[in-house]
Amino acid sequence: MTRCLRLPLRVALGLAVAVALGGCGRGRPAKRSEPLMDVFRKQAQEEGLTRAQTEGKRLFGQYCVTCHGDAGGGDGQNAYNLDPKPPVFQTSLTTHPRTYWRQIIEGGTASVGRSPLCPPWGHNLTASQIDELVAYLDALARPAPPTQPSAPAPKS
Amino acid sequence: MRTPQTAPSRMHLAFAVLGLAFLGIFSWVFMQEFFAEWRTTQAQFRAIEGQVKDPHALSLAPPADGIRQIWLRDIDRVDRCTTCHLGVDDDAFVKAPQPFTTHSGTWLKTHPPDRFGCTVCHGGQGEATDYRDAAHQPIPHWSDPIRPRELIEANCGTCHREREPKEAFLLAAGRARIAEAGCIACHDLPGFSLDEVQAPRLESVGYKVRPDWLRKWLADPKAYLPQARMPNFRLEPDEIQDLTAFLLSQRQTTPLDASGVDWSKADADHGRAVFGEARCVSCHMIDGRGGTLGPELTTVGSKVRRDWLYSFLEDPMHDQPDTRMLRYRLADNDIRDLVAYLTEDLVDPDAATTPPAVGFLDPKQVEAGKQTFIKHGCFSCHRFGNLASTAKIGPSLMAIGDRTVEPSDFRGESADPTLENYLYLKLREPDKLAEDSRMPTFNFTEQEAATVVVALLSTRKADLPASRVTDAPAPKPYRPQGAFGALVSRYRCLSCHQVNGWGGTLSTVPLDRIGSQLQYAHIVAYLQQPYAIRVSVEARMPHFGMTADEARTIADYFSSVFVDDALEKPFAPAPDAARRGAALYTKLGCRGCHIIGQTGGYVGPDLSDTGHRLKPGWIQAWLAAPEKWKPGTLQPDYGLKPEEVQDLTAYLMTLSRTAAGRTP
Repeated sequence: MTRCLRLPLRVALGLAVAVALGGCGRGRPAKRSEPLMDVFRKQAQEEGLTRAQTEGKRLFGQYCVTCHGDAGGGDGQNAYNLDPKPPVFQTSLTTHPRTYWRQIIEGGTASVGRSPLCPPWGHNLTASQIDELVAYLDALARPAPPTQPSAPAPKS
Repeated sequence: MRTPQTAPSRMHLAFAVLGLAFLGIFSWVFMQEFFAEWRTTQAQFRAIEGQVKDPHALSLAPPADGIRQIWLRDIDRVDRCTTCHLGVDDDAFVKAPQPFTTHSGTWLKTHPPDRFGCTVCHGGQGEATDYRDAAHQPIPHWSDPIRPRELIEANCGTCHREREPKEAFLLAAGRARIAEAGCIACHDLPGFSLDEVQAPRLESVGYKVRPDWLRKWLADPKAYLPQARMPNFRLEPDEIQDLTAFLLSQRQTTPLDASGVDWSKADADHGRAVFGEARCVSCHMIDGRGGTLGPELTTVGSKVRRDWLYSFLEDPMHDQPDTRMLRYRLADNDIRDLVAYLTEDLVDPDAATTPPAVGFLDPKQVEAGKQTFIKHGCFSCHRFGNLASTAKIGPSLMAIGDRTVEPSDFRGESADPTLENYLYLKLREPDKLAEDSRMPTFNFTEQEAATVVVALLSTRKADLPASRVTDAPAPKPYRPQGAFGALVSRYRCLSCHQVNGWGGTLSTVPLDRIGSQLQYAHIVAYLQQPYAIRVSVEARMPHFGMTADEARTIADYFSSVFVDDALEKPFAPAPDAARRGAALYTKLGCRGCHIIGQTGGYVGPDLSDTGHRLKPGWIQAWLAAPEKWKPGTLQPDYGLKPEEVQDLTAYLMTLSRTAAGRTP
């Protein structure tokens, strides 16, 4: 009887071991570093910007900084030629809704009854580009970068 | 002891067990299908759909009950992702949770799902209908898991082969970096050309550089100059000695004779003035200021020999036929003073003042240096007579994005053994993954290396049908002949300007229609005496010292060949158009960016002399659609009506330096 049991037992044991090994092989190896993704995570953490805001920042750099300054402080290289001067975004943006910013980017400051010095970009930029710029202005108007940017989802 | 009767009962038992087993397997399969993940997901979707849609819209929507798939016939791909991602193309689900969320951005408009499916852009296993098998996370034996959003541009690049695909900035940056680093010199890589590799010829370098500079440079180019384009080959000290001997023995083309130059009369201060007047700073950087088209010159006096420099400035093409440096028309004395300024004022205080004479070198060491030169593939970038490369020294990267890597390739690095991590580590520190690697160290920053990885991952097997690939055709070399061609070659117009997409990018003004943009007299005057049209731009056209005859030859050619008939319309504005245009100029706030006379901003060109400078047909075309002529321009498109364009043009054509109170 013991002999009879031994064979199935062996088979069952062997199967169990095989399944266990297979399971190990299938699972991902213990937590390993991801040097490439870490670059992006670090960058995202430092900037604290969403993807749309990152694009907006690039557009801001191309179209806006000459007058508005690198950080929207109203201190671009062309600012001193302008009267009225470009506003300081960190304070001016908080007083108006996003639809107002959008209107200015699209139709220029003249379209909201102010001086014509900020031109209309509605024909140069696409609607989604303007969305991205508005998203970046949101980041500029933010009083301080978030201390706890959303951590990337851990890989299973 | 077995009885004959027991045999059939055992058979019955066996059949019963087998039958039960089959029943079990059958019901297991049936249950699997019945309780499949996607069914639960679709049930959740129907619940959400009821909340976000009104009954009418709900009755029009296709029912979510069953597997959905997109078949991309031409590339033999089936994507079932929309079985669960049911709201991707429906704006009503913007705020719904995953997997039902509307696709972000306008991507589905430019890439309709019925033509592109999902996995073409995202990767993953399209035929799967559950989360795990679709390879949302990496799974074993599936080499193409869904790309994290950070790397998704690698998939853009598989179809978009042009150098700067729109909206894929990482990819564009990576490709620009690859071009700049000259990867193509050592590796086969689609989309890049050896013509882009700009390294000086070395056949006569023995006359050019000082030995101690050369040793320092070879040891680590970026230690000498952080923005150096040559990477660090991690040479051993004896390799540096040998290579120095070999390079200094290269004296094929004797420099132009400088023996008659009376250096005692040289005036470095005057040389500095010549340097400024000629606008050398447009291309050469000194102490962090200036362009990057030519070599940095802060300590050039400790790098090159004086006689060689004199010869080079007399005729740069004498020993560097492919140089981007133009041949100025300068008097011998001006060149002498310029050389004095460069070699006396721009020196490294730690370097020896006088170099040893060009002399004898040990032939054994020269031969050893030649072997070192070959071993490291220096000829890949420095085109070198008969040492020209037959095959690339590095492995081909033609389908690098399809390469598989093994954990053993990582040599103990604890990184997740994926291709992207391998490429990243290799780019950052080539010797870490292979001790004997001959790949030099490029000192890429983390971000730079990451963009290059994205660009490399996009390089896949070239098995896509042509209808799926977008590419910008490589520009055809433009080599004009005759008197005009000789001038273009002498003054190296194409180092900065483009004709038909061929040429440098320092100037933002392509020459293709320049004859219809600028007035003839202005071209003739400007070529002889260039001035700043955009005050805030440091890179300006050099002061060539061009003769009036040469300027007229170029202007004649421009005005008869580089023209666009559509711009050459007669301009007859109404009598009071200019007055209305002036009012419009004020109303639109043009002064914010443009100067007239003394007032205005200087983002755009100075308009003071427009009436003598530009042609009215061009002004009208430009004002009507600036983006058409120069994508990404800072000139806003005001959406002007044709009569407004005409009024503004009429006003601009009245502007002239004389009227603005300046000398003509």
